[in-house]
This record gives sequence, C-alpha cells and structure tokens, in this order.
Amino acid sequence: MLLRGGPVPGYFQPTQIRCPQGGSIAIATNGTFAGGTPSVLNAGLLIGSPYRLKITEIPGLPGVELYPTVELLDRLHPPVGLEIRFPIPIHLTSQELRMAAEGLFVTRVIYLEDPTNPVVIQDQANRQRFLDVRFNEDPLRVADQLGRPMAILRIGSRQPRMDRQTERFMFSSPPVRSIMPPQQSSIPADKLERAIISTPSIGRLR
Amino acid sequence: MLRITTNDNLLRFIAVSGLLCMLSACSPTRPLSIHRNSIADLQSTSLPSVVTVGDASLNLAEPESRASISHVPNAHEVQPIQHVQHLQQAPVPMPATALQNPPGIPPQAYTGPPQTTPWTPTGISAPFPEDEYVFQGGDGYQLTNVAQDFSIDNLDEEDTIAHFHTLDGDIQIERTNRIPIYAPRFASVRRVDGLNQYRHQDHVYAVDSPLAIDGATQSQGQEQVKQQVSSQRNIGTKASALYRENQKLRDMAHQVASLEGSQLVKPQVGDLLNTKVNIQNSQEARLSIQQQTAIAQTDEETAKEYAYDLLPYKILSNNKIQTNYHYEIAEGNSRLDIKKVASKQDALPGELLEFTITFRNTGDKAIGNVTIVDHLSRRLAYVEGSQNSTLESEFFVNPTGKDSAILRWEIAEPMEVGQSAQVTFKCRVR
Repeated sequence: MLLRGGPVPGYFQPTQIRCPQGGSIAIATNGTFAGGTPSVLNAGLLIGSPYRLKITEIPGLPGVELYPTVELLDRLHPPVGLEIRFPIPIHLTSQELRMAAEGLFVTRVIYLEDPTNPVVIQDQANRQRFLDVRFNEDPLRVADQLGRPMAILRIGSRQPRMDRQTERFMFSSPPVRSIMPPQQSSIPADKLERAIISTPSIGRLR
Repeated sequence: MLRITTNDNLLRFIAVSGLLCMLSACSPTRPLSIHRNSIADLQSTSLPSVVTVGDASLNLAEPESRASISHVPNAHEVQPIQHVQHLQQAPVPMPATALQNPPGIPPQAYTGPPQTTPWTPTGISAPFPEDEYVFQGGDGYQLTNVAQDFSIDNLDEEDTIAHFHTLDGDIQIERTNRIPIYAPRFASVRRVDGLNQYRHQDHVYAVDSPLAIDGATQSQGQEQVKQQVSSQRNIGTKASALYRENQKLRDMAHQVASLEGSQLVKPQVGDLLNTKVNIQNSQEARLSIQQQTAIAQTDEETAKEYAYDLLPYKILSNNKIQTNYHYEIAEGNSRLDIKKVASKQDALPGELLEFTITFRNTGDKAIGNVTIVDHLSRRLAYVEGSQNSTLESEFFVNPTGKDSAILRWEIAEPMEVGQSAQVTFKCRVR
C-alpha cells in the first residue's frame, strides 16, 4: 500500500487535524508536546510514521487529556503549488472524544472517495462523513473497498508515563513540518449549500 | 636456514615500506592530494543554509539537530562527496512563506531534488491519479449513439456531446474535450471497540475445551480388551505347521491334475479346429457377397460426381473481368467544432464551477437541430437558473437514476456556416 502512488519516503503530506471548537491540539515533537494550537492543526507528516497527538481543553470534558495517534498511509498528488490547499482532513468529533474518555477505543480510517462511485450528498468543510462498521469488521478493509485509504486515526484513553517509556509512547517523535493554514475558500460560509449529512447506506461486509 | 631467509625478506619488506612512507610524506602523491582536496571542498563550501529535504526546506543552524549533515568533518574523516552534492540542490517547490523550519529532520528523509511537475508513473498519462480528479466532458467508456428520433444511447456520466442534422438528413455527433478538475473528497470508516465485545469472545472459547476431554475417555478401554484375545491365538501356532503340510499335498495333486488335463485337451482342440474351418467356409460366401455390393456402390458414387460438368463452373472468369470503381462524390462537409472549458482547474467541496461550451459551424453547409447534451458527474450539482445561451434555445434538466443530471440545450434556429455560439452554466462541487 505504501508503494502505491509513487515515491512516498521523505514527502511531507499536508494534513489538517481538527478537534471540536475550543479544544487544543499538540503534536509530539522532539520528545515533548509543543504548544497546542486551537481547534485546527496543519502539519506536514511523513507517510508510514505514527504520530502522537495531545488533545486538551476538550469542550464538555474539563481536565481530560487524550492522546490519539495519526498514521498516514498514502499521499496526494495535487498540481504543483496546491499541496497546502488540499490537505488530508482528519476530524476528531466530540462524540468520539467522549467515547474515548469513557474507555472505548475508536478507530477511524480516512479514505479518498472513489469519484466514479461517490455518495451523492453535499460535503461540509467542518464535518467529515463517517460510516460505522461492526466490531468484527476491519475498517481498513472496508475503506479500501470504498476508495483509497489515506490515514488511520486511533483514539483511546491511554495516558503516557513520564519515564523511559515516554519516547516509545511518542513513537520517537517523527519529524513534523508546520504549515500555515490553507487558503480559505472565497465563498462565505452562509453561501454554501446546506445539506443534511447522514450515514450513507452502504452494504456491510460479511 | 629457512628461518634466516624469512627474516631477511621481512627486513627487506620493512625497509622498502618505510622508504615508501617517507616518500609519500615528503612529496604530495596523487591519493593524498585527493584526500586533502575533498576535505578542503567540504570545509570551504561548508554547509548550505537551505537544504532540500523531500519537498521541504531545512535550516541546519539548529544546534541539537540529530541530522548527521550538520556534523562538521575533521581532517581524519572522509566525507562522501556525493552526499554533499545532494545537499546543494535547489530549494523547494512548496511556497517558502507557508513553510517553517522543521525540527530534526533525519538525513534519510532526503529523496533527491524537488519535483517541479507532479509525479506520474511511467506509461501512464496525466492526470495521475485519476481518483483525485473529477472529469467532465468528452465521450468516455461507450460511444454515444443518436437515433433518428433523437433518442440517445450510451450517454455515460461525465459525457458532453453535440448532435445535429445535416442537409442530407444525417445525424452527426461531435464530442467535447475532457476536463480534469482536481477535487479530492474524503470520508471515513469508523469502528468503536469496547470491553463488552471481548467478553463475548471469551465465552466462545470456554465452551470448546470440555468437549474434547469427554471424547478422549471413551474408546481406550475397549482396545485393551482386544489385546487379551490376541494372546490366546499365540497358543495355536502349532496348527500353522500342519497347515503347511496340507499345502504341499495340494500342490502335488495339482500337478497330477494338470497332466491329466493336457491329455483331455488335445481332442478338444481338434474339435475346435474343425469348427473353425467350418466357420471360415461359411464366411467366405458372405464376404464375397459383400464385395460385390461394395463394387456396385462405388460405381454409383463415381457416376454421381460428374467431374467434367463441374469444372466449367469452378472457373470464375467473371472475377478476372470485374473492375472496382471508387467514386468520390464532391459534397459539402458538415462540421461542428465544440469545446468545453471550466472556470477553475481545482475545487473544494462546496465551491462553484462555471462551465462554458463553445460550438461553431466550421463546415461549408448549414446545420440544423443542433443539440448540446451534458451528463454531469455525480460530484457536480447543477445550480438552478444558472444556465445561459447566446442563441435562442430550449433548456431541459433531466434527472437520472443515479442522482446526477443531464443538461440539454436544443438550439431553435439552424446554424449558418461560420456561426458560433456558447452556453454557460454553473455547478457546485459536492
């Protein structure tokens, strides 16, 4: 899978990580979590290296800190100069953060939709569609059938230990490139067409 | 004697090597000069301030960088020249203003000079990969057909065509160009795992284990009882010796019987020979009849062929005389040049795209019933009331079963030679 799409080693794929409004996101860099950015984190990540995030100030969960991981599986090939305009979006919803704080483990596979078989609904920039699968189904396999898997987000409630295991917890802090926020759309938000976002009815795998 | 010779050779070798070392230290030999030059080059060029790492720029002034490229070589180390050449590549394709200095990028992340054009695998034409693009226009997959009643077949999604009537009454079809629009869209698949699900799996494994133990305790006791019975049979081994004697007697009797049998066979063979003769005599008569009938049949078959009569028919003299004539009828050409363009080549979900279809009668005859048909992709939603046409036309939006739409413009008046027109419409990217 990593060989698909051309030379991926050393390429920093622009990624946009969003958490609920009011939350703070930090990514492990040089063995520590740098100062968190509010709500949206834009960063260039290497493909194949897991990254540890730190989510704090979660709305509705005061004092709770969560440490999800992000792993990119593939890269995009945008026209030259449009790399930052088209990042891979990874959204952490309030529901998922709450479930993780209660002890559940959430796995979300972000995939590039097949344009020849799209779900005919209007997408919104601040919400990512998701399809729930059962516990005995592999979300990576389902995503591979619906499109091209791009990233894996794992959210649990594991807390780091500040000892010699800390570096292992952070996956040795792979290099990160910080990227300025992408160019916002010239269309105001109120002009965007509003559509009801619902879970698409796609057949379950057995 | 042998030891003395060896010591002499060792002394000679040490003396010669010592002289060579002194000469090499005094005079600048060729390998030594290369060594000094390489180190001098490294130190004089020092390290570039901007280093290309993948598609990024790296500031090597960071003091605690783990990258070995920031290590200043000393005189006892030979640095790879090829590595230094890599570090002097041109900077980055990404906008430098939007990128900041990354901390601690390892040197193994370097992948060569930056790419100025999108990477595509050999043998595959751009745009690549196609799953990141939304295409519009052209006539892909199946070729579109238009019948005389204007019904259209094989109009696939993303197709854009125009069909018109010529003065001869024919229907011609023209296809537009294919427009790639970079518009990747993402979704996700989610799974939530909890402790209750693992408890359920543990119960399944617990049920399987006691069943195996019950099966193992049933059959072993009966097999031990059979072994006791077999020991009683060992007492009867003497009977087997007697049985061998009986076999010998049977062999003798068999030999005698065979001699007697040979005598009895002789007259029987004679009888058989006599019967064979009789049978052969009877068959000869039958075979002779069959031969006569076969001769009669072959005569009939040869008479049916009439080979002499067929030969004249097989000579196709007409083919030699025939001549092919190719006529070029001088008629006017009916042509429609049609092109399609989009306002942007990339779009995010929610953004608007404006398409313009320009068509022109480039033939030398007028054409009529010009119809423009555009089958939108499912990623594009037509904005109501956004269409416009420079010629008087009727506009229709036909929804399809796949939640896409087919736009159709029927131009009212015929188009004269050289006349051009265009239609525009807007779509929102889903």
